[in-house]
Amino acid sequence: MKYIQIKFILCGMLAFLSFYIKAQTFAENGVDSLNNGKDSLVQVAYQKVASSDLPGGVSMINVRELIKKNYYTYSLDNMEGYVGGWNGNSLWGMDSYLVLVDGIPRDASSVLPEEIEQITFLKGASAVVLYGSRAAKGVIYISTKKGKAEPFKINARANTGFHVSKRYPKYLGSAEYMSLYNEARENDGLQPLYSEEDIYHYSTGENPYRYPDIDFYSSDYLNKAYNRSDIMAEFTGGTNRARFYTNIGYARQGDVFNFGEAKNNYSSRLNIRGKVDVTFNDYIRASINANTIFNDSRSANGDYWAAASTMRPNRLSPLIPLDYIEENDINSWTLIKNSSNIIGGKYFLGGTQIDMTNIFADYYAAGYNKSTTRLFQFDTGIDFDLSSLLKGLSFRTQFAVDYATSYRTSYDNEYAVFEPVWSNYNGKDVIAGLTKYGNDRKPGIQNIGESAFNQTLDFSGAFNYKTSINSIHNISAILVGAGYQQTQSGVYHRTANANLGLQLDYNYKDKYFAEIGSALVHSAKLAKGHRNAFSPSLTLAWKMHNEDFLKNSQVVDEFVLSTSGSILHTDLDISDFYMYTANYTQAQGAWWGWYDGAVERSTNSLRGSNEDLTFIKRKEFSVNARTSLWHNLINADASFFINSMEGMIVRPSTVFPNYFFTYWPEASFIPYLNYNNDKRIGFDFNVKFNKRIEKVDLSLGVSGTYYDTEATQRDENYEWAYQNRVGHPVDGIWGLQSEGFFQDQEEILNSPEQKFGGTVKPGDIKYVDQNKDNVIDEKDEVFLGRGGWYGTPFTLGVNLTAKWNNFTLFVLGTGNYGAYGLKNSTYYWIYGDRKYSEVVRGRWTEETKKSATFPRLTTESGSNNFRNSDFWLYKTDRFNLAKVQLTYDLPKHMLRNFFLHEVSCYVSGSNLLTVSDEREILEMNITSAPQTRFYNLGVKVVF
Amino acid sequence: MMKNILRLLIIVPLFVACEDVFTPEKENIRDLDAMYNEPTYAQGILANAYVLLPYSTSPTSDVATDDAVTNDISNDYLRMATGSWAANFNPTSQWQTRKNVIQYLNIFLENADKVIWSKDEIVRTMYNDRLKGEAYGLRALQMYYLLLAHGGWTEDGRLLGVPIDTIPETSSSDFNKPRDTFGKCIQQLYRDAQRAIELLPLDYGDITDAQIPAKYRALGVTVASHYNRVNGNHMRGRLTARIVEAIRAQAALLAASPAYNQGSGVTWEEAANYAAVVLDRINGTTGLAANGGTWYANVNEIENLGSGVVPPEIIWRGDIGQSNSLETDNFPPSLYGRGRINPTQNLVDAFPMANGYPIDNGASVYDPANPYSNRDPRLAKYIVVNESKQGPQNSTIITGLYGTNNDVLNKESGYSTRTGYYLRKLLRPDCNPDPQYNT
Repeated sequence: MKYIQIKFILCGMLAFLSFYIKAQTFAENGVDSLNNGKDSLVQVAYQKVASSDLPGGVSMINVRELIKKNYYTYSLDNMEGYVGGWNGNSLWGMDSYLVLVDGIPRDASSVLPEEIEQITFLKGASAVVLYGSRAAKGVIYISTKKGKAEPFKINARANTGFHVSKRYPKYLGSAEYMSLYNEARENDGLQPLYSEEDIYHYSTGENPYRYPDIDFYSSDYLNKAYNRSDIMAEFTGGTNRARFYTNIGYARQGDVFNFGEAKNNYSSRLNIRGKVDVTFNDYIRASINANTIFNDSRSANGDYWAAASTMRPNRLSPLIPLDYIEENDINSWTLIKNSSNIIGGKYFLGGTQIDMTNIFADYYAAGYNKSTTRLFQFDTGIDFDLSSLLKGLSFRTQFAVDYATSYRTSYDNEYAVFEPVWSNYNGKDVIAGLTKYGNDRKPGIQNIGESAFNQTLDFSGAFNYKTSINSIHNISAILVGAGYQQTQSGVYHRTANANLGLQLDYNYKDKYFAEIGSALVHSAKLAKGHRNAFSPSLTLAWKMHNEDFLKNSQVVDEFVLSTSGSILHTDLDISDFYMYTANYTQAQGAWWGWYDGAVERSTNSLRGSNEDLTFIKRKEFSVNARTSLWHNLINADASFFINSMEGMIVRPSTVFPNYFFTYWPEASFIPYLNYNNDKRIGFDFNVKFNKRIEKVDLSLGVSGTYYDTEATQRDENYEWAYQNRVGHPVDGIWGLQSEGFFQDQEEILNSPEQKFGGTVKPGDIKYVDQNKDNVIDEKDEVFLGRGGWYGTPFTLGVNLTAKWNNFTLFVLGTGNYGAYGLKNSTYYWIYGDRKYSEVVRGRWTEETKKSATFPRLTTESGSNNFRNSDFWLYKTDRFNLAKVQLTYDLPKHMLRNFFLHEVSCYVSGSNLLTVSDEREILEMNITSAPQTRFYNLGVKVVF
Repeated sequence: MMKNILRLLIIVPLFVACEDVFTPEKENIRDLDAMYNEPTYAQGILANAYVLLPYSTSPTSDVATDDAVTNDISNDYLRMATGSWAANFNPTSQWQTRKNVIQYLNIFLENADKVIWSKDEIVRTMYNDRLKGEAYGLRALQMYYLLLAHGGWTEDGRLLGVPIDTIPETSSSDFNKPRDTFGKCIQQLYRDAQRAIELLPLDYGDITDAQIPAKYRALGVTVASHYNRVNGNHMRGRLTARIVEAIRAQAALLAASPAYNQGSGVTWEEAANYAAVVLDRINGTTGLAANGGTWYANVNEIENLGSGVVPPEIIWRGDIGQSNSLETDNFPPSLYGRGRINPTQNLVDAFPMANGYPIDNGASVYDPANPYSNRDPRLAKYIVVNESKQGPQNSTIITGLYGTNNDVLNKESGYSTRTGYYLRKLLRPDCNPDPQYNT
């Protein structure tokens, strides 16, 4: 035990400098990153299998190799570029997935890519059956690195890079806005609001304080780029007795603002992970892992991007120079002197009676807030080799406890703004008077709020048995019992999972495989007597390359065909406990009072009863093929799947009258039923080419996922068949069909009445009457296109690695095809007081009626035009150049007697290019921080 | 060593709490039969009718009429008034709420006799009477509002109301019942009102032994405190026979109106008689309060109201509360309000001259150059016209185009008036929505 240097792990970070370890000679220029390691082990449910034995519906990424040529920061970033089946959003189009880190349900963001050994995507139902109910929609298993029996090694990395905003929304300036707003008023039959003289003054820009024209995206407020840097050190080493792995890192990122408190925005992360693997004797091994992450961020009070999308450019000037105030205006100077918010000694805060606060004044005077998160993860596992009892039997148990807490502290100040009354003396603009609104208040109290914590407890125990009879019949079995529980602050019920699992594998001469996986799942969310269900899964596989006719083939190295069918039971879509029982309660009743003081609460029924509420089923059939051809020139695998989610919970509104429930008090007499069904069908593929051309090692990977959804059963009762959701995709966008604009009043009179409110005038959108009832209303809505909510229908990934001498070039691209979006943000749906973006330049007017791209302007609600229809529909098809990285590894022979064993440096760019017809919409964020390109420079050294 | 590890292995899982893993964490799930032993729980069923009373505390549907418009472009009634009134968009619908309340009232009436309101049998009878009376009266109120919103003529000339429900519906009931006739609905309303009037006291209030009603004296009530426990001062604000009489008079007026009297079977005489029942209790029109027209702004009267006591103008009121949301919504923008309800020129022109003649009548002294002088005094009391005063500092409000602030007609979308007038009725001028004071 004395070789377990536990104290060393804790203080290693301070002591590493004093170590000087003799360099061992490594193979010339290191590990061939093109070789995926055909014999490497892949983590699947409760066991590790050789990659040649991978069951269908499973994909793996070797992150340890990937990170050498592609340094990235979020564990699941762009994974659709390397494997099929994961499309960036979901596994095989399901609507959620479970992330397990070392077998414990954790957040994917709590693991850094540098700490990951491999990521396994368990897509098929047969691959996740042993994990029980909450894994039924797919599992992403992240395995973290372990220590190895090797001399002590330090791996350090430093990066610094810049985020550059891709694209900002374009809004109109004051003068243009004001003249177009006048046009909108005219369209509505009102008098113009802004005089020509006013508009002229705004257009000349002669005095931006009297005639404001605020551009939220100008360099006055935003920097061109902001920095992100990080540094990380990894310590590994050990002997056969004990091995350890430690990772310590720190990252810090700034923000794009360059004024006020927002200049000091930042976010940072410190992480410390330690792992010890101990071999006690031939029979017992144990491991202990601990991980902590400290997240801090600071931001000024206020949401800049939301304000940027709503505040019109001519409302007010946020900062006004003191110079404009007349010297002799004692009243105004007194007001100003008493203000505590004179910015830079030169400006006071401007405002009006209606706009008494604005985001610029907020960033100067309203204070800031800090957000803090602390995460702690601990798990321990013990492996027992029970060969003394029964040869081939082993037992592994694991226990984990995670805890996370977060809170926000803030200093919230109030401030006064001043509205100037302008006049003109001797040709110069002066402020003739000031009106004060609001008050300056700096309470100096630190407010603490938004505190939350959550906790996870996980326990599992698994027996593993492997045996072979005469090397012809190979049998293995897994028996597992596992459960976990997640608690969240403020939420009464916990998320929990408990199940038993049994898997039996048999193969004949490594040629014909059969696997029966099963689980007994238990859910506390159902009624007594209905809480258990049995989920079976059967897989058959055929390793054709071990057959005589392919054994000596020059073309086929490996060819495996498998098929599986499963029925999984899950309670993932059962949102709450006790949904099966009727419930009358007064505890949530609405209050009513009489006698100016006596009160009582209403007693309401929350739901009707249905004791037979049961699990939701995932029924699936899939076929998988995997092959390797021409001595590793091509590696490919593909899957086809068809599955049906059956029995999803609904409150059937078509069977009960609408007065059986009310929004307030929240009450209902209607029970929950298992009713809705969804069908999914699709395929995924992953093809890799490896070739050496001259001196260049090339590796190209192409992967893709396609899925289609259909609602096969729904509780609905529509008048017309085309309105039925059944038969249409689950992620469908529904809306009206449009046919251009009304060009004149006569056309309006001759067309069906559009009943959406407001008066329809020429320049409004004309819709199609689907049901020919001469009225256009919600009954004329049809299916417009798939929204791609679980990932776009077709996702493509392309990755290219080229190695030449000591340079490695890595290029990653992803493509998304088949989905539609609606231009329904405030950037496009412009009416009333909304801020005018450049799209209004294409508005309908009498002169431009033939080429208009936007309806007539209006100051009313425009409810006829601004609703879901194919007028606003656009295709979100795109191809992204997601990453390009060039890495240079210093030749080993140069470092032979140096204390550094490996040095490599790299430069990379992320999110570089989007190729799409609708590039402008896709690259633009309207109410949130802009999308950025990230350019990074980094260096990695190994001691 | 092995033994210690095994021991740890067995003990550790026991520390793992197992709530919600095998059995769900306890929740307080109750059923309807809890009401028999818990009077508060049972009264909660009745409380649904009070929680969902159909009365609003601010003008809402007025903006769908010719009397007023709103300057809030997202208002549902504005959409309705400009053409989007449809079967699936009906802001005036009462169907869901009223029938939901009737369902709870029916559940209450079905079970009230079995509830142990009090261990004393006589007091239990008094409670049962009063609460059932409230339920019948409130059911009549629901029927009135259902008829208001959903009664009407068919294409073949029948006047229909709504399906009448007197027992609670369950998940296996037949929901496809046809509408009953308007006349039958009115008769059901009268029956419910009559039962309520018989069971409820005229007003709530503490009485003396001598004033115990005959029906309870016959049951054996001799001490006034038993009666006061059920129907005393502290019940003021709940439904009384007086209020039910007023509801009945309103329903009779609806049925006797030109829209419906051809099919409802109710005559003007019947409506007049029911109204007389209510008015006779205050000695007819001479009993009307002189300042009743501004009941919302009679500050002294309001400040001095006792618990549950109503001013002379009011038949039924809700609890006293402190709020300036009505003023924040409706004051002109120069007073930090949002000027929501804008009375129309139609409404202003409807006010006659002080001498009683309409403004377009020859005998009136209407002067178009001074349209607001010599008008019926209610015009000045209810509407803020150009150059009148409003607010805590008696500020002059200029809505004409020569004005300089946001009060001006159509100046600021969502704040300024669309008609040139602001609302005065229902607002207390001593409120100040200025965020600095916010009183």
